[in-house]
Amino acid sequence: MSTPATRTVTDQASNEVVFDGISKAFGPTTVLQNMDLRIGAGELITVLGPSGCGKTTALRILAGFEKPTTGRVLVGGKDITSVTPNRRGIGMVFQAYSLFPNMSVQDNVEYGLRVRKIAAEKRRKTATDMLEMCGLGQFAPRFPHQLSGGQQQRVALARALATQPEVLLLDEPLSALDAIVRVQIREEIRRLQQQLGITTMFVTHDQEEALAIANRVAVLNSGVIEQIDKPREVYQHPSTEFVARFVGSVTEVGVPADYRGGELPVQAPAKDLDTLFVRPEDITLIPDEDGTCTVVSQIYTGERTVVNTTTAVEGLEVTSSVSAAEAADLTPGTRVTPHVMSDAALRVFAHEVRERVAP
Amino acid sequence: MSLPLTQPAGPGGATGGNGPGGRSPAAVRPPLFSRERWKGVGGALCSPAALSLLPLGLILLLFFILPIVGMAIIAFTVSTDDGGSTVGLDNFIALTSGSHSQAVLNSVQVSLVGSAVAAVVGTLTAFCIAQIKSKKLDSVVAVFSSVLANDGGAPLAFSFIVTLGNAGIIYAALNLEAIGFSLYSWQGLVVMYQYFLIPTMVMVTLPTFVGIRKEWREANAALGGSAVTFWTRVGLPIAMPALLGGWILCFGAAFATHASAAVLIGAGGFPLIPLSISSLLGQSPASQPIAMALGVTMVVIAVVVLFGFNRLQRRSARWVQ
Amino acid sequence: MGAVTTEAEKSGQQTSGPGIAVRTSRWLPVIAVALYVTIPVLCSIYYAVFPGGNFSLAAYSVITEDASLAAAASRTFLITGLTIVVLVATLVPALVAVHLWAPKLRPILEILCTLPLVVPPIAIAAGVIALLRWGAQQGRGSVPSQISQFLQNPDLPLILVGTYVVLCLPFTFRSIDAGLRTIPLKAMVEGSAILGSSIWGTIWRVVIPNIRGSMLFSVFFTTALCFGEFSIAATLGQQTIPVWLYDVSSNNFRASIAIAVLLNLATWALLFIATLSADRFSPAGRAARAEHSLQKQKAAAS
Repeated sequence: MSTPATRTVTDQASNEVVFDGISKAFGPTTVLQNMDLRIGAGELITVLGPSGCGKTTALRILAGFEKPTTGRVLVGGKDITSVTPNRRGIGMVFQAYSLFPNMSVQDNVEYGLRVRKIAAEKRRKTATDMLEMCGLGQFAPRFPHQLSGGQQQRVALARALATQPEVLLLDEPLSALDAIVRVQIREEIRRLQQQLGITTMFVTHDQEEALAIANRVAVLNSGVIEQIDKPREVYQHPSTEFVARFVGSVTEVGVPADYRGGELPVQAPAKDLDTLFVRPEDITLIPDEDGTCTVVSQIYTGERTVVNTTTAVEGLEVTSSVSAAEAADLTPGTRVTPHVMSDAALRVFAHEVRERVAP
Repeated sequence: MSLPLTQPAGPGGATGGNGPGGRSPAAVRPPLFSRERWKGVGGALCSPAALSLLPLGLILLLFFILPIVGMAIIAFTVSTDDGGSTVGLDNFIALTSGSHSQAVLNSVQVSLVGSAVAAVVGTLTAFCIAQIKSKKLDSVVAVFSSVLANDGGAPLAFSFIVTLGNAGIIYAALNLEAIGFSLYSWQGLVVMYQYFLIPTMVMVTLPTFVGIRKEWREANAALGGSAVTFWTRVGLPIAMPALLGGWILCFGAAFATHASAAVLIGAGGFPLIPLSISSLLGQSPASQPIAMALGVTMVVIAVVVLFGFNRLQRRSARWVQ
Repeated sequence: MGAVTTEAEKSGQQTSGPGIAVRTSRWLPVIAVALYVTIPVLCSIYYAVFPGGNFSLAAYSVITEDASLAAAASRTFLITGLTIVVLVATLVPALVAVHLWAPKLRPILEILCTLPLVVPPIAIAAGVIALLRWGAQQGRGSVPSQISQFLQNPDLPLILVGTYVVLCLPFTFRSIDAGLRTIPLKAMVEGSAILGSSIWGTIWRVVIPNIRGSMLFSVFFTTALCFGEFSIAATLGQQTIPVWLYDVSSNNFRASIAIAVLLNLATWALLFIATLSADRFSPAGRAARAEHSLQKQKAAAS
């Protein structure tokens, strides 16, 4: 793909992005701590984390809107840390309302090309192609306030891609949209990204979205990357307690060091026990007169049914996700015993627990 | 601020375009005299609402509608040679010559220059206030500007006489006599009018500048645009309706100002439309129709101004929401 | 959260946002306009209370010595009081009625109440004069002539009350209309009726307290306008305070300045209170303040 926008990158074959030891502090508050992240050429990485974890700051540092306190940012091997945003040739889609309200959709998409002094004829053609690609052909003459939120974000995407940037940044682009539109546009972003092979950083606080769209997910907590891995790995083998709790739902129990699956002991995490993090789908509930848990509610979600149970241990609830057939036996009030097939995804050893519980 | 203190900003103003006596509903759909158009209105008049509306209606009729209609009738009435009267434009034609035409020209000149200066200074001020990015400052300025925009009364002229008059404190301190400045001239009026015109301008344009989103600047930068590109292609075009609207509003405010001009200029010297109206009313009854014609002229200009302001205001409100 | 060195802090602050020169220059126009606004006021105060450089309140002796000022002041206060009463007593029932029973009439009422905004006061004065003169010409003792005289009675110029109500309508209409829109008027009246209250009792006890921001705005705005109005009073030859200022300035200039300062500050204060009360009691303002105090509590707790 030709890149008329290219100003900083000479070797376009490797539009690899590297965060090299990036730290960022606003006054006394540290937002990012020595962050290292490599986004391979053509790769889509989602940066996932709770609000205030620094994920947007990381994206804004790559865009050039914030200067890192220490560290370097490289695109295609070239240090762009001190390059101004308008010379980075990076496409960006914002949360919402970023379209210029005084311009038609067509003019919005042409804007970046106009700034680059591309001839009118070519500009129009590129913009029209871009709009067609995003399914917005008939909206070209409209103004932003005449579009729905989803359409506006599609235009924003088309506008960001029209200059054929080497890197695309998406700053929670779907958070202001309805659930259904969110999934549609998510799919569309993925399709376009793969079609154009564009290196992409997608920031979100929605874990489902992060897992669904990414090549790799980076989980960020308090300015530190806790884990970078494929979506499946992040979900099934979280490397820290934070990741286990933040991505998907989880039941935490204390188990003896020699526990290797089978009946799940119902006890709270403690100093002399390992802590086990188990996903709902890994827990089976077997009806049992003398069971350790009592079913309190069922939440029907279509394919699966989530069953919540209480235990004698204060604050400990065991959650399982079962098929509709299994759910029939698990009416509220039923006593059950939880079982786990094998050792679960994340086990925190007793000595680590000790450090954590009694510092 | 949640309530507009001065003329602008409300949804009501646009309907003023119907002119005096325009009593039809705002949303005009069926023809004026058709049955559907007034369906339900008759029923409404029989409801207890009618009783509650009567006192207000009476006040409006007595102290507003009748005077305006009376003024218009006198302005368009011409006495004929045989002692009768007929409809004609003679009173308006009289405005095109002599001291009355001078008053019209002076009013237009002072209002144009005054509003242009206020537009530039007010815009710059509002722009800078928006750049400071302090919510506290924004709300303080909003309150102050809405208070000052309502100024323009007699006390304003007195304070300017003491400050910039021939014996004024600042006039002496800066030796303004040397540059030939006089408060009692059209330049003086322009300077004095800024006291309420600049706040008017700030009041109208500040919400627009505050409403310019960070995302627009950043999108511009991400797309390769510089600060100059942003302001020429995005920022100013977005602010333009509010700027023009504010300018029009300032023109209207300057045009209608009477009290401070009356105190400063008095009856003679520098005729302006409001001053001419009040002095004509004090003279012989024969000059009364001319005063009424001037009054009608003012109303027409004010209607045009408010109509223009409202259209521009709506557009910019849509953009910066 | 990790410890951060002071060096990092400093450079972090320096890199974010534009330089100090730019930040300072943004204040320049603001300061210039603020000076332009305050200097005339300071000059008038200085002129009024420092005649010849020494502090003296001699200029204010007109308040006790000049009977015409007292007369003008009491006339102004009387007109103001009556204007407020008439305005509230006619506008509030009309608006409540329109909101409750005849929403179709609301646009008509809105146009009528906003129109005075379009007409400069001097033009209204001209029209009023035309009408009054026409009445006076209908012959001594005739009804129109008597009405004309009655309205212009210098002790109680009702003509000013009427026209001032009209001048205030555009502003007060919007305020009270907006206030009524934010409350569930119909539910309030119906709920109160079930409890046995009459409709006007409900309006007095329930509706008005709920739109007190709009009411306060209307009262203070009307007061400010009545105190400062010059065009109509002067044209109709009624000596209110602003007209007195104008008349007295030719022979006792310092006194007119002294009173003008007071009048100016009073008008500003009234408009401030009007604006703030409109803000303070509006639902949006209340919500914002609630939010603010919540955040404060949170900050204090953590």
